Formats: sequence, C-alpha cells, structure tokens
Amino acid sequence: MRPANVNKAKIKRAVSGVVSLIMMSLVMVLFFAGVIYYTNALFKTQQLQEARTMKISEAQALARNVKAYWSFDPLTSSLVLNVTNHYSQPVQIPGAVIIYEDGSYEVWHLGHMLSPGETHSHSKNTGSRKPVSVRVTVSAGEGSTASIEATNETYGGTATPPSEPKWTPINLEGGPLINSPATTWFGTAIYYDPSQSLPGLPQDPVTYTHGTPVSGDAASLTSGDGILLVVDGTTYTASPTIYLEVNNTIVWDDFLTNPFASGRLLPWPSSSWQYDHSDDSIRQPHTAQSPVDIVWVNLPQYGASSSLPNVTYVMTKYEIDYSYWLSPSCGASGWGSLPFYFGVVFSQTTDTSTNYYWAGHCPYKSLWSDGGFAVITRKDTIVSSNHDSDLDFYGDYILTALLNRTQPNAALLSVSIGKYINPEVSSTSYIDPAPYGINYVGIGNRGYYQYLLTTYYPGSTHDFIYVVRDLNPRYVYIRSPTSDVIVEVLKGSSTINIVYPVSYDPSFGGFIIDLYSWSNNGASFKPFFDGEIRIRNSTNWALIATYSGKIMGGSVYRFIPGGPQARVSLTLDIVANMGSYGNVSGLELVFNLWSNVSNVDVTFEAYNRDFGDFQLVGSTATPASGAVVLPGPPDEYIGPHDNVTIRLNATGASAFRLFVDMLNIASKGPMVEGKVLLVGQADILHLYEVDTTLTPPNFDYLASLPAPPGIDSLGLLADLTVVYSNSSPSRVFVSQPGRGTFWADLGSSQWNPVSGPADGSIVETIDDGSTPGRQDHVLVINDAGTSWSYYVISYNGSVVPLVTTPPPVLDWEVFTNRTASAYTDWGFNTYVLAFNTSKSRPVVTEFKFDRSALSLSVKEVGELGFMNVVGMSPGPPGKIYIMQEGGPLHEMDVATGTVSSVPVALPFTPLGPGDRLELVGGRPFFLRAESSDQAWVLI
Amino acid sequence: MRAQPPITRGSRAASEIMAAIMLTLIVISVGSVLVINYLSQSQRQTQYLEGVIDRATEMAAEPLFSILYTYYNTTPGSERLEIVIYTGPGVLELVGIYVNNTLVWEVGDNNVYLNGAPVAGALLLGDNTIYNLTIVTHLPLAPGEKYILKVATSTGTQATAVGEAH
Repeated sequence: MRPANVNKAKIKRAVSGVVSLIMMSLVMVLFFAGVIYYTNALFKTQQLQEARTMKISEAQALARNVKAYWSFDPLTSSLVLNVTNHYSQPVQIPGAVIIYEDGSYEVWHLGHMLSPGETHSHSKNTGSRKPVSVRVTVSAGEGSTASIEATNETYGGTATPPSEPKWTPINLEGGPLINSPATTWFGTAIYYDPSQSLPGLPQDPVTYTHGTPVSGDAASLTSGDGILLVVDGTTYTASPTIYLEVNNTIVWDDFLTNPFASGRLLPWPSSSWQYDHSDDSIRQPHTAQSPVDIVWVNLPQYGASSSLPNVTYVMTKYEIDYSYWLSPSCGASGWGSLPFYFGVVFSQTTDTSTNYYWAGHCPYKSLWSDGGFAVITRKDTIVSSNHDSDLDFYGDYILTALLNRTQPNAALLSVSIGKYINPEVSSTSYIDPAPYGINYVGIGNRGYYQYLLTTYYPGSTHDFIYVVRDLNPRYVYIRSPTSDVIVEVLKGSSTINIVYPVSYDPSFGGFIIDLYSWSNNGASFKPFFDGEIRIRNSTNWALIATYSGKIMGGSVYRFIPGGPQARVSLTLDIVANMGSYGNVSGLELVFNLWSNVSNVDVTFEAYNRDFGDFQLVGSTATPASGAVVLPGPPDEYIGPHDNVTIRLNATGASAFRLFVDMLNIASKGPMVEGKVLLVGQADILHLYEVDTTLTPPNFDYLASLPAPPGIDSLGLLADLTVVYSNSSPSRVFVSQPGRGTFWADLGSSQWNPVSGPADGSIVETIDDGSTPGRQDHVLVINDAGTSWSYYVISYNGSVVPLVTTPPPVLDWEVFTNRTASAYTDWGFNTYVLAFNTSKSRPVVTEFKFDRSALSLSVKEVGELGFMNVVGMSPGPPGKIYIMQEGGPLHEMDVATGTVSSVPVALPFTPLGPGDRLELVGGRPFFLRAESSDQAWVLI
Repeated sequence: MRAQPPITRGSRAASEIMAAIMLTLIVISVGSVLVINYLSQSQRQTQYLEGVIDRATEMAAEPLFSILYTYYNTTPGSERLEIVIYTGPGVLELVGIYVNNTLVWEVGDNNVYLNGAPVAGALLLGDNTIYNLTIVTHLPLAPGEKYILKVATSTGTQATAVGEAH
C-alpha cells in the first residue's frame, strides 16, 4: 500500500494539470476567437470594397456603351438628342444637362428606359438659346450610374464644338523673374538635367606642394559664394625642366612574353596563333579557308579601361610571308567577291557576327613591284580604298588606324600604311554617317579562298601593338613656350645613335617629332622606347634640360624655361555626388578664381586611375571662371570612396596672390529627353522642363546657365537656338555680333567657340529633314551693313562650306533690335524677319538648306503691315505665327504670304524687344518678360 | 529515554502553503492584468474594426455620383456657385464643397439651396436624380477664370470638376 502523502501529491498534480489545461484551453479559445473575428472582419471589409469597385467598373462600362448624339437647329431652336444603348442590360436615362453658350444651363428630365440595342430620340425647344454641350446621365443594374458627353452632330460634324479659344495666363514655376529683352526657344531636346548636376564635396586637408595658404579651406571651394581660399604663390628661381605632361598610352605590347598564354591577346575564332619568343613575334599561318583570324586586345589585361576612348589610334607592325602567297583579291573584282586584307578591327563584339570596321591593307602581288591598297571596310563592303604605286611589296609595314568618334553622328575611320623608307605611302579615310557602337579592337588577317595560302606576321620580328588615345602615335609632342631652343630626341642614352627630326609647330605651341623618319632600319622601328629628350641653347649648344625615360608616340611632354617665377600647386580630394542615379554620365570641373596680378597661368589636372597619374584637363589664365569636362569615362577618375583628386597649378612671372572662390566637381546625371523651354536674357540662360500633356502646359524651372564669355545681350543683339540629334545631347548655339558664336551641350556650362567669322544677331535651326532624328544645323545671319552674311554651322560647331549660297540681297537688313525667326519642321524651312529697305517695311524671308548639296537658298515670303515684331513661331502646317508688339497675334500663310489676325483678344500687351513667341503643345505661347514669370497660352 | 528531536515538519508545511498562496496570488494578479489588458485592447480593436466595417458598408451603399456641370456667377450682387450633380440610387450625404481647395460650404452653413430651396442641415441627395445646388458665396474669381470644384461626402469620397467663372 502506498503512503498517503504520495496519493495526496498525485491528487495535487492531477488537479494542477486539470487547472493548467483549462487555463490553456481558455487562452487558446480566446486567441482563436480573436483570430476568427478579425479574419471575418477583414473579409467583410474586402467584400464591401470589392462591391464598390465592381460598381465603379460597371459604371465605366456603362459610360462606354451608351452613345448619345445631339443636334440643334438654330432656325427652330430645336434640340434633338438621340441615345443608343449598347450595354448588355437595360439602362435608364434619368435626364441631361444642357449647357448654353452664355454659360447658363438647364436640367432636362427624361426618365426613359432603353433596352439593349434600342435608340430613343428626345427633342426640346431651347427658346433661341444655343447649346454648346449636352451631358446625359445613365443608370443600370444595382446602382451603376454614369454621365456621358453627347456628341454634337449639328452641322454634320462629329466633334463637340470647341469652346472659344482664350489666352490663359500661366507662370513659369520656380524660376526667376524675366526682364525684357529676352529671347526663347522651345522644343524637344536631349539634355543633361542641370538639377541632377550635383556639386561634389571638397575634402580637407588641401595639400600644398607650392604656395602659402592665407585663409580658407576645402569648404570654401564648394560653390561660388564669395567665401574664398586665398593662397600666396611661392617665389622661386625655376630651373629649366622638361617632363611628361600627358600620357596617352592605353596599350603597349612588344610581346617580350607570350601574349596568348597570359590572356593579353584573345585569338578568334581559331587558336592557331603562334608566339615566337626568339624574335618576340606573333603569327597566324592562314593556310585554310577560314575567312578571318583575329586577336582581340584584352584591354583590362593591360590595366586599361574596358572601353575605348572616342579618339583611338592603333599602330601595329607586320610582314607578309610571300613564300606562301598566291594572288589575292583586293576588291570586288579579281578572285572573288570578298576582299583579302590585313589590318586593325574595331568591333561591337569579340567576333565579327555584328558590326565592325576593318582598317586594312591589301598587298597586291599581281602588281608585284608597285604597291598595294589601303582599304577600309564596313562589314563586307569596301567603302574607301586607295592604291599607291610606291608601296613596296616586301618588308615590314607599319599600319596606323584611327577611329574618331567625337562627333555623335559620324565616325571617322582612317588608315595609313608606312614603310620604313617612305612612310604613309598609302592612306585613305571614311566617314560613317551612321556609326556603330564600338567596344573592342583587334588585329587580324582574312582571306576566304581555298588554296590561298598566306601567313600574317604582325611584324616579322619585334612586333608590337600600340593603342593610344587622342594623338597620332607616329609623333612625340613637346609643348614649349619658346621655339628658340634646340630639341633632340634620342633613342636610348647618349651612347646611341638615333636623333629624330624635330620641327616647331606654332599652332600646337611646341615641337613635334616624327618617329618614322629616322632610319631605314624598319625592322626595329618602335614608337615606344627608352630614350632622352634634350633641350639645348640655340646659340651655344649648351644643354639646358634633359628628360630620360619612356619616349611615347602620341604622348605630350612639356618644356618649362627657367627664370624667376612664383607658383601655387595644391591638391585636394573631392567626393563626387552621385545623387540618386549612381553612375554619373560625366564629370565637370567647375571653377571661379582670380589673382591680384593678371595673367597667372592656371592648369587643372585630374588623377586618372587608369593611367595611374594626373592628367591635364584644362588650362586658363586669371581671372577665370567656367567649367571643363573631364575627358573619357567618369570611372577613370572616381576612386573607391567616390573621390576625384584634382590638382591646381598656378604659375606667374612675379609674386601673386590667388583667390579661389570655387574649385569643385559636378557630377552630371543621365541625359534625359523631353520638351524644354530655354529663355535667354542678357548674359544668362534659364532652362525649364515643359509638360505639354497638361492643359495649360506646365513649366518647371530647372536651372540658370551663364552665357559664354562676351555674350551679354541675349534678346536684343544676341540670339540663341537649340539643335537636336536623337543620339546625343542637344546643343545650344548663341551668337552676338563681334563677340562670336558658341555652343554647349544643353544643360552644360562648358561653352565652345565656333571658329571663324561666323557671328551674327540671328541664330536659328536650319535643316532639310533628310536625316531622321536629326535637325542639327544652325543658320547664323549677320548684318554686314549693305547686305546679309549667312553662315551654316554643323552640330559639331564647324562652319559648313556651302557649295551654293544665295546671291547678295542688297535691300534686306537685319531688323535692328527686333530680330525674330522660327524653324518649322512641317516644311523644314527657316523663317527670318527682315527689313526690306526698298519697300521700307518688314518682310518675312524663307531659308532652305540642302544637307547633301550643301546649298542654301532664300526667298521673300511676304510683307508685314506693321513694324515691330516681338516673336515668331511655327504655326499649323503651312503657317507661321507672328506676334506684333502691342498685339494682336498674326498668322502668315507661307505659300501666299497673306497675313491675317488671330481673332482672339489679348488680355495683355506684348512689349518688345525680344523674340518670345513659341508653339507649345500646338498652342501659341508668349513669354511676357516684364519683370515677371508670367506667360500666356492660347487655349 | 532520550528526548525527541524538535518536530520541523509542521514549519516546512506552512512555508509550502505560503509559497503556494503567494505564487497563486502572483499568477492571478499578473494573469488578471494581462487578461484585462487583452480584453480592453480587444475591445478597442473590435470597435475600430466595426468602424471600418461600418464605413466600408456606407461606402458600398453610397450611390455613385457625378458632377455634370459647374460655373460661378460673378455678376455683382448675384455671386453664386452653381453645381449640377447626378446621383444614383441610395442616399448621398455631402459634407463639404471646396473651390480651389477653399471650403465654400460645410454642414451647418445656411448658404446652400437644393433645387432652389434652402437647406439648413445635412445635404442629402440620391434616388437617381439630377440636382441643382446653388451656393451663395463670394469667390475671388474673375470672368473666364477656371477653378477646381471638389465635393466631399460623408464617407470620404470626393469628386472634382473644373468650372469657369462667368
């Protein structure tokens, strides 16, 4: 028998267990009851919301499926309304609202039921009141209701008569007040959104290699806010010196080690390329009928960026093993339809399945003794070729290929073949108007026919491949402020042998050394070698300065003569602001600085991480403000902490104090395409983003950009326009007589001058529309006193050499201080206001430009019966709008020259001068420019 | 005879009972707090959910409506806002009318007329009908100027329309 206390303990545990179970059950019941309640509540809520949504959907379907038409007979004042039910259920028509032209309305109770497919007609006498709108109410099913706008069929038309157009005021939101005079441009543009051009953050400490800081720190450099960094130049007696200033080398390989084993060169498609260490050469025994054999340059293996710069030179050396040679075909005639050639390949991919360029050479054995061809092919088409009878068949060739992509809609491809005795005996070039995107470069050999046995040696011995940016690797460049010195460039040290010919080029501002013309020993030619540059006194031959190191074709060296000088050299890190877009599309160095003595030379350098060195990005003299774009991809400059390292060097002939208000990096966001309004006023341009989908259109201020130096009369003497290219930033052109013509990418502050006498007071887009997506020429007109001067400028800022120009028109003058012009893309014409001195009245002239024929023509369209014009814009097809000072708005038919007033009263007084009329979203738009941000749109 | 050792069993039993009582009291008190808290929270949430359901029910039952026309009469002495509203079956209660986001009428204002008759209290519409609403108010609108009309209902639904001053 168990003890009693054991039983008691059991009983206690049992009771505890039961109590616990009850408690737990209660908790669980409560929990689940809560869950069920909340679930039910949410489900019910959702059901109710769905019911509401269904009701709204049904109402929308109802509105779509009931059609109503009305007509009105003004003689009998009879309004007839027909309503047809296309809905799947019967619908009720409770009534309609008639809105009359005076704004009053009347409720028309109908209360009619329509079966599916049924039409019912209602009529009503309006008592001589003319309706302008009838809105019908419909109802169906369980509370689905809608209202529909009945269509007016009064005069056989199908559209509701529009309400009377009115000038509606709008404000250019967020921008500055605009003063007269001002000039405007509106259109579609691709631009760097200035609101995404974010300033960087200069970081302390500023490091001074030369110079004594007086006040300020890195934070002083952030913006042009008058907070200055002040530095005194350190005076010193400078020794003459020469140093490497710009290293343009991207790839240099003379195959001292196996380039295939290391992956520096990537053979394609076969792996039959061979490396011979005995003479450091590579070769491909092209003995089969394989059409191509290429080695691609693996740029990252050379520590280079994986992308090619816009200006890429490739130089290579090769020899043809003619012992295997059978007569090749060099063109469409000969042995076949495909050419046979060696050369440099630029391609989108590391194969030739897509787009590529060959810059090649076709030795022509049948012309055994007199030469060969240099050809350029685009895909399998020879697009440019040249035959040179002086090109010897034997020996080493030096082939230099250039791909220049600095212009957005043109790729310049050129090739030259050099022999060691007679360099560049054969060359040719080609401009591709629809260029490919190019990512890879290689050297290759191609032939197609069986039994065509060739061997391609990119240099029989001591081969090389040399990829250089910007400058021709055939030359070495030495900047020098003086030509009164003797320059020697030597291969090797003083013990060697070769002195290159040197010439001084004033346009370059220095000496240029031709590396080809040194010897007849072509087999050992290299554009990249250890050597010396010696600068000697021109009178006593004394050695002034020496550079020892790599001599690199295509790179730039700098000679600084000695003497008493002062200098500042400071370096700082700037954290680039990436904004929300992460990858910047460009970096701009912005600056504003001056000194207490004028003309202190200033250079800006940026640390290029691909080169591993500072790269000169711009130079100027004090006082200076502006911006320079860092060349190449931004990734080359941005460090691991988004930092860009900048160096400023200032050099003066005497002691100076340098005041730096701003030295910063602006990160440019991605380019955007949209409609913009550009307002030019005095010496500043205001940029607005325009939403034309809204009524009235909406204008959001983006930024204000400074006009180029010297332009200070926009809207009066100076004018602006923007040209469009669908693959590149749109460019704004401004011009002022006597000050010049300048262009900049829209959204950028970096202005570039148009060379030559191409300034004027009228700047307008001109094009013939023959190239889709591009309207990218500019017409500049200058009043030369007795007649006009015309210039047509291309997108890239160069003056187009016109083949045909209009004869001088002696009786037209630029309408002084009342310029107006418009470009119409419905006819690809440019209209310009002129003053006809014979008639003593303003006339409208029409310019036409033919891109292919390079011809410009002009004719008079018609006369104006009023003097002062404050704006001209495109109108509907065949018409232009002209705003008269004080009003009204006129419409000119450009076919007949007739002018009529737009019969809408102006609730404002347009005042001049300025050209401020645009067609925005199909509607005339006028900027008032009377110390306000108000504009008017005709809606 | 040896003396008996002192009996301690009785004192141990007393401690156990006290411990049990204390433990029970603690559990009951903590449990009570938790249960009361849970119940009060549950009650609040239940009230909230019931509110949500009520509002969803009202919204589901609220008739669809559309503003057919509106204009503002700027004639001096006759300044008024005219609105034509069509409502489906059911009861629609308007609580506020705004012009350019400025309140021009709310429940309690006596400047509104429904089909020409003054309305003092709630503005109740419905029954598949077209209504004329007239609000006598002075608005800073010039003839030809456009404005945005907004009508708010008791369930929070809003409808907007663009009108023009005449």
